[in-house]
Amino acid sequence: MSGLLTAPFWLPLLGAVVALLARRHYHVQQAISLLTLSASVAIGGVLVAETADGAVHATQIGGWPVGIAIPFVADRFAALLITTTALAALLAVVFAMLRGEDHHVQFHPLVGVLVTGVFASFLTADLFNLFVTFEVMLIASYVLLTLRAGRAQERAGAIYIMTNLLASTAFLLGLALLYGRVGTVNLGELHAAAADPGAAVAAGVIAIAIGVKASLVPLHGWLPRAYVCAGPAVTALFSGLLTKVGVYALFRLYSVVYAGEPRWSLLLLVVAGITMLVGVLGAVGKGDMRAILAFHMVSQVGYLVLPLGLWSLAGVTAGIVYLLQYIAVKGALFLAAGTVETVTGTGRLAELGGMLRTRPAVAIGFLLPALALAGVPPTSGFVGKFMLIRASFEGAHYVVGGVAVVVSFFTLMSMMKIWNGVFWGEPSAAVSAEAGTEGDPDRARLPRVVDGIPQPPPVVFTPPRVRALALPSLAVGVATILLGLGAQLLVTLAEPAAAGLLDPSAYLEAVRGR
Amino acid sequence: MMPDSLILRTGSRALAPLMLLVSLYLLLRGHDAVGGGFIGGLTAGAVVVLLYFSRGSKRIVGSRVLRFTPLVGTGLLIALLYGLAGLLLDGAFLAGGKVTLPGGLEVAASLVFDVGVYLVVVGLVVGIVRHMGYAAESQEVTLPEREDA
Repeated sequence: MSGLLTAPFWLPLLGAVVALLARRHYHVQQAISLLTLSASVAIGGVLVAETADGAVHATQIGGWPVGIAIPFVADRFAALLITTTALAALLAVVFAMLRGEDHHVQFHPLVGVLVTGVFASFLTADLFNLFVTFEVMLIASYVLLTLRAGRAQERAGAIYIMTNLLASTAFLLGLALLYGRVGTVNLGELHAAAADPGAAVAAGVIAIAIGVKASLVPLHGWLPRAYVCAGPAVTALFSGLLTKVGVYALFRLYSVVYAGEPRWSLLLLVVAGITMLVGVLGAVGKGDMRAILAFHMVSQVGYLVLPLGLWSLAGVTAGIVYLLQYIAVKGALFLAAGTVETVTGTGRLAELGGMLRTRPAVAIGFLLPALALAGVPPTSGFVGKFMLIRASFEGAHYVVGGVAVVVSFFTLMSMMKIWNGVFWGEPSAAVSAEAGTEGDPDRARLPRVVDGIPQPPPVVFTPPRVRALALPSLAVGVATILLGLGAQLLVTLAEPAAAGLLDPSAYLEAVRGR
Repeated sequence: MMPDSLILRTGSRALAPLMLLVSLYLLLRGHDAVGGGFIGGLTAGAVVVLLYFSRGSKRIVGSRVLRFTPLVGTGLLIALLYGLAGLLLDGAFLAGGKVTLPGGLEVAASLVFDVGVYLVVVGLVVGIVRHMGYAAESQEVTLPEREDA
């Protein structure tokens, strides 16, 4: 069990190290990435199976005594997230390979380090270790964001790094306060610690720091600026992983340290509602596919943290169902936008149009996840949103439930705006020319050998390769329909996870090694 | 690069081996006393910086040993394999223990991990010097000759 629990940590890291050492062999790097990510999906699946009936497994790193060791704990919630994020990362990496975005010796090693940080954040039950795993993830993301250094990337990178460093400092400060007050940062010993006002303030500082990383309004300003500047595959990768880790940490913190204390419910509901509204309204003024999608990410975080305010079995189950399908849906939307950009060379709505005729597969690959994002039946997004809104009304939280409904309409409008701009009507000049398929004009300038390492040849966009670009988003689109029709599967998977969060006693016992 | 200094060059030739020895000493005593892979690596990193100051970035860039990726990659690999060895032998990732060497000397197994950390830290310093060193050099080329030099 110890090997299985630590595998999501050491396997991707080992892959990253081997990929780093095999930097002269581009195809070896690709194979390692595919292999470790597929294996991570499988490990996640095994963990999901092992956590049936609310079972929780724990291991103490290094075999140190309980309380000194860093515990790695897998409950159903963590297992589900590992599986889903590994899948999202796999799709993004396949897409990066197809469009040649991984033509940098450090791309595959960095992806390995990034997912190492993500998986370890899901598994660790020590708040200081959570800080470390966050940093592992973020440092890899700093480099991935600025890998293709242009002026815009550097500026976006500066905003991203400064915001996250500030948040990390606050995180560390909160940890110090919490340790000073309670004397431990081990989640096993922190249950209901927030009953003490001093500890509640300390944990609040940590929660705010995590709120920056999850991009809750009013701490969201960095996300729409930074994400659109990365390469399309990297944006998809970040969208599936980074903010979700923040959301996960908020769930864990609220479940354990705050013990679901209802006095914070109103605050959480207000933050969730405002995040939904501000994000969706911010998207209105944007004229670029990925910029619109980035603002919707902020809006969706509101839906993701809404269950914290509800904190009922129905609400949290709905939230987890929504989170799981949303990770895939958002990644697929960014991949579809990336495909459009790769093919036509632009993502601006004004220059696009009529792509349904030239590239129907891309159009469908965008449409299905877009409907899921807006929550239109019969997609999985509808199931998640319907459950979430019903749980809000059942809990007599009418205002926030109403906001969730209204924001869904705005989301649908936004998606229709992209649909009309990019796919509907007569093909525009950019769409007919498909200038992007002639290859990246920047590539010709780049040296053939960097630091003595031969660079892979530029990607030639053959017709099969262009068609293949649409496959990852199309696959997710079909999956959202299937999961929407067979929604019971997701609910069955998510319910034990929700129960484990509402009553963390099994989790706590596992952490304490009993 | 800064003006060529005979004093610095001669001094570094004597100092560098000494600093390297101290760094290794810090690495070895790290388990039970002040020191360890990180601090040892930083001391060895100071040797790299000294080399850069005294002989210029060509000394670093031309070196076969002082290269970023091999150092960091090997270091990480050693640290990880140590963790996996603990998993295989003791059932817990990163598990440690004492190993008695033939001479009766007791050594903590985590020394292996520390060696990995040492290499990573040296690698990072090399990476910094290589990247920032390039920039300083290229800027220097565009500067006009100083009258008083």
